[in-house]
Amino acid sequence: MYRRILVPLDGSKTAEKVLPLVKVEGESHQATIVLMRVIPPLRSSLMMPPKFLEQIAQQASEIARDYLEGVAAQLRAEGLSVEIEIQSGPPAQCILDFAENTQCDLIIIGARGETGAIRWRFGSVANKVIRARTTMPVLVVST
Amino acid sequence: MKQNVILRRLLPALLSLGLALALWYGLSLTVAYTEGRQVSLTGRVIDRHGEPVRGAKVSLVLNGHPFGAGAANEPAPPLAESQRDGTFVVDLPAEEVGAIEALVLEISRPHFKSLQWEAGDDEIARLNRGESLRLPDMELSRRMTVGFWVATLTFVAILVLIALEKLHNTMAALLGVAIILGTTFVGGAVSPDLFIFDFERALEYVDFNVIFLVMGMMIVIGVIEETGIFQWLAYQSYRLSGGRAWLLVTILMLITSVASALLDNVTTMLLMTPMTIQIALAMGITPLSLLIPEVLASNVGGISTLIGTPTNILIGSYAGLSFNDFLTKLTPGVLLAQVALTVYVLIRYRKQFLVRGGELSEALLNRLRESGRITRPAKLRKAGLIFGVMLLLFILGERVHLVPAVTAILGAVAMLLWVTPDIESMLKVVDWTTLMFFISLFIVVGSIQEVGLISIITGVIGRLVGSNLTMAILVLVWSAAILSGVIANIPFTAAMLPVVGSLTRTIPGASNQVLFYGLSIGSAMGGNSSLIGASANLVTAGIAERAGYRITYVEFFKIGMPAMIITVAIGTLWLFIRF
Repeated sequence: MYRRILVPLDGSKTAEKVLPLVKVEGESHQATIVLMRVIPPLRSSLMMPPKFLEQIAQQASEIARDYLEGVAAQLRAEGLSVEIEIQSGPPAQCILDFAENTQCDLIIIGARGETGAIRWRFGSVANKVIRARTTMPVLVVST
Repeated sequence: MKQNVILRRLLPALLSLGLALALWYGLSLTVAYTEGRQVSLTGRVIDRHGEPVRGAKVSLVLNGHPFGAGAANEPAPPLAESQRDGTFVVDLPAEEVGAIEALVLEISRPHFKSLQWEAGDDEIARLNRGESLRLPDMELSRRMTVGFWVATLTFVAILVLIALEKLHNTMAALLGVAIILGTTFVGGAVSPDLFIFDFERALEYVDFNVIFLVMGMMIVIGVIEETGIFQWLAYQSYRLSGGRAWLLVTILMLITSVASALLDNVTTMLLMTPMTIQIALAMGITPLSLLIPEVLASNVGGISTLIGTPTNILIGSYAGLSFNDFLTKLTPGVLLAQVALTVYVLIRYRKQFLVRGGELSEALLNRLRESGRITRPAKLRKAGLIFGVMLLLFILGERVHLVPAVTAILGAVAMLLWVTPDIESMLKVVDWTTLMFFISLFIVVGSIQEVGLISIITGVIGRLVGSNLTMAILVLVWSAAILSGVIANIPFTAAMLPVVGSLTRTIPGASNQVLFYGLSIGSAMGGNSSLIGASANLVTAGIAERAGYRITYVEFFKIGMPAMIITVAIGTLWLFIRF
């Protein structure tokens, strides 16, 4: 019996492919769905004054909130209880820490969300989550 | 009261006495100097390529004895050191020297083989007659020490670490400085072959013109940004386009290009990207079809002025090129490349731009309208005025020898005092890590110059191009363009400056500095060929990714590579037309 299911989304359509399964699991367990978006660190570069970085972080956070609210609205329309969570930092680490600290009992994650430069730098988030030494059940959906 | 009167009368008298004493002492010194007869040996130290070698120590063995040494078995202490132009002067007081029978000059310098020059009979006779001598050029040949390999490998490692994003640029460069100075001071005590250069010499390589110009411009941009002008510009371009994507991208490219020329291209993209994403989302088109053209335009547009890219600041400072030099000799070519780039982008994205995008989102449009307002009109007027005066000073300052760094500092201080009188804001708008990066980079590049790597590269390119200027331009522009796609262009440009400086002196017809403009075109336009080619690309990709829109390496390459070839070809053509 799961009570809090954590669903990390990265804003891509690929990652959203987990949503049908999330609905099924959420309904069958009467669980609260926690939609999470982790904003990865901005790659380090030159000529980036701290002030602009703060502004960009704020904007990224606003975009993430808009996105998660949109997905949450769909799930709520289906009668599910949904919370949203936005964090900044290395995605896999943030996901695991949050899951453990807030008593989530299942993580549902897409096998392949991000592509491109972030993946090149961070590796697959799902891969890192399942390889981490966690006792948390992780459901990886082939996307 | 009485004391004051005494003081007032005594003071002028004391001052006059002091002045008189100083004059007398000065005169007596001059008399003593002229009374002592002395002969001078003047000469110049050069390397195999005829480049002056500074810092070579000159000592003397006179009549078989080391001159100036305490004992015959001690080495002769240096009497002179070669200057920046390689020249040295050894003064010999006649009474100390006595009759000369044999004279050997010893010239030594780290990273070079020591050289001995022996005076012939004729020269000795002239010296004994009290005549000074102008010696032939002393050519030193390089010696590859362990220090050479340490400096070379450190430089290569920095390039690799930055390219692979294993370390922040500044951290990588600081690590380089630590290795080089650590090797010199720790290793140098064990073996002289580990000596690279000392701290004093290292600091001589730091170009504070660049540091102050970059810092000043950061403050200026930081203050201007507070006014909301960039958001306003982006929103106005959306309004002007009337929802036509092709027109919107053309206007946005133009704005980005002009902003990059006046500010810095990374900063421009930091400011333009968030607003562009908002516009694209409001119009229902993918943000990437606006962002990629913008970043391409930013990399090209930045080249048109001295302050547009860090590479131009480096080149301008090293080669002594003024704001006007860039404006008159490079800007028209860049404008041509910009037009070609716009046409290319419109053809390339014709499908996305001609098809009407998704629905206009009223909520997003309202937000766009809201963020597209000038937030502080009074500040904008003041900041605009200061920036206008700065531009005038950049253009006119050359006549009164006002260097761009000073103009930038004047503008920055005016902004901080008049527009945003808050020291906290200065801390936040300056990227201090970038300034530290430049200081460290100068030291690392200085080390490879010191140990002779730059000289080797110059030799190889020199042999490749011979005295053919056309060939030199082609090789330089295209190799810079291709390499900039792989390695960070700022360290690359910094390392190439002494190479280009040497080629400019040796290749006939290159004295008009054409090769420096070639380096500017190649290194900046070359950044368009790959996602890691320029900081602006990575910054834009980073912000877009965090908003959920990814720019993949392949996608960027497919669009950027042809853009790079087109613009660099036009840039090269322009160099041939203009010079």
